[in-house]
Amino acid sequence: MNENQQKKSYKTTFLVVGAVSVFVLTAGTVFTLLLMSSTAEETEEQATVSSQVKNEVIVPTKDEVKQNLATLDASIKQANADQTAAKAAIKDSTKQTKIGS
Amino acid sequence: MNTILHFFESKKLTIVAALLLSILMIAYGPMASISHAQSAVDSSKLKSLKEKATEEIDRRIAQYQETLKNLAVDVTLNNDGLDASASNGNGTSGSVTANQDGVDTNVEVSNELQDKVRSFLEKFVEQLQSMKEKVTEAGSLDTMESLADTLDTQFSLDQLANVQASVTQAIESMTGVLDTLKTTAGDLQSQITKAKECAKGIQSDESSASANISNGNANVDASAPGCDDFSINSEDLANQAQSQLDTITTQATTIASVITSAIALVTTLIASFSGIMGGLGNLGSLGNIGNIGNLAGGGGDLSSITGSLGNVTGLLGSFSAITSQLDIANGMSGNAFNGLSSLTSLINI
Repeated sequence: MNENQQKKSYKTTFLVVGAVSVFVLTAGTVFTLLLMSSTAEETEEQATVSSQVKNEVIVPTKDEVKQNLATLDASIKQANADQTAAKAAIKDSTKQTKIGS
Repeated sequence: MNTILHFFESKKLTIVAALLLSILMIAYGPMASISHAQSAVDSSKLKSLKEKATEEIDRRIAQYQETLKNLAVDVTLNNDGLDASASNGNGTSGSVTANQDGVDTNVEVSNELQDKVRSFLEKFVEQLQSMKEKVTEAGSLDTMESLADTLDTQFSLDQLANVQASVTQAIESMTGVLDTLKTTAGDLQSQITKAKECAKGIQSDESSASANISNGNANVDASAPGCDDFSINSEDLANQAQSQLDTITTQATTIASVITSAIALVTTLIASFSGIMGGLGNLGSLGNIGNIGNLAGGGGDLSSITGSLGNVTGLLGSFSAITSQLDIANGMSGNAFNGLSSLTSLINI
């Protein structure tokens, strides 16, 4: 093998190695990007589902609201009764029946 | 004749003695009658006083026990942790919080304040029960009159203890009203928010299931409302509903302010009452309320109590002002309830 043939052989080897390297790097990058994109979509989907579930849980039904309204009605009646008792106590405090002389 | 004269002469001393004895015996009759009559009057008066005093003591005890029964009903609040607590430095405090989120304002009567008024009233009931025993055992009119005077004099203090307990209970009940009002308004707010999203097309689900996890178990609730469960189908309607709820929220905030003010006032008044009791010297401390009864028949000075009555009258006026404040809060809570009811009907199918 003369010197020119040897140089040609090196050049070919260099080109093949270079091409393979570029291919591997490009493929790796594309694969990584695809993988990251897929993970992001999954996270977003999970977040959406989670948010929907959360929203569904905190929105009460008509019956639940009505139940709270019934509790509120009972609370107001109790407060009225306690307030009437307080007023009666104040009124009583001004009406003294003297026992002694 | 001489014989007769001689007889009188010889029995002169005996005859004089007999005459004196007769006079004494004649005089004893009316005197004994008068004394007996006086004794009968005293006995009747003693009996009457005992009956009146016992009746009054029973009336007071029954009234205060009714208040204590009301105080035993605790109001459970859904409030989150408190941010701050207001204390007047006199051993009484009202835990009051107010943040800037309007309807989220937390208002609470502290357990310390409730315990204080309950404890005062319980001690007064014990003291009255002790006084009732003394009345039963009173053997003389003097002792009974002294007990009656003490009972009359401590009337205002007894009643004030009852008034402050009753007013504190009324405030406590209003905190329960506010708490439920907030919860219901919060429910409707989340419904309106979802209805708005439905109207905008952000959500378009039909009646849907909701999931929650409790104690590691997933539960599915198939009754959670979907877009088709709301009668609000446009943004305009949703905005109208929001406007109505905002009005109710403003009312709730005002109610919270009124209750907060009432708590602050009642805290100060109860501290003043403690001060009055402290001004009675040894009678003043909570543990010695029972000694009030010892003034009677023990040569005690009732002026120590009567001297404080002017302050008691002032305090009663202030408690009366608190109930007027609560009237406003109560009226507003009634309006808020009506608003929430009509809004519930407006939003839900």
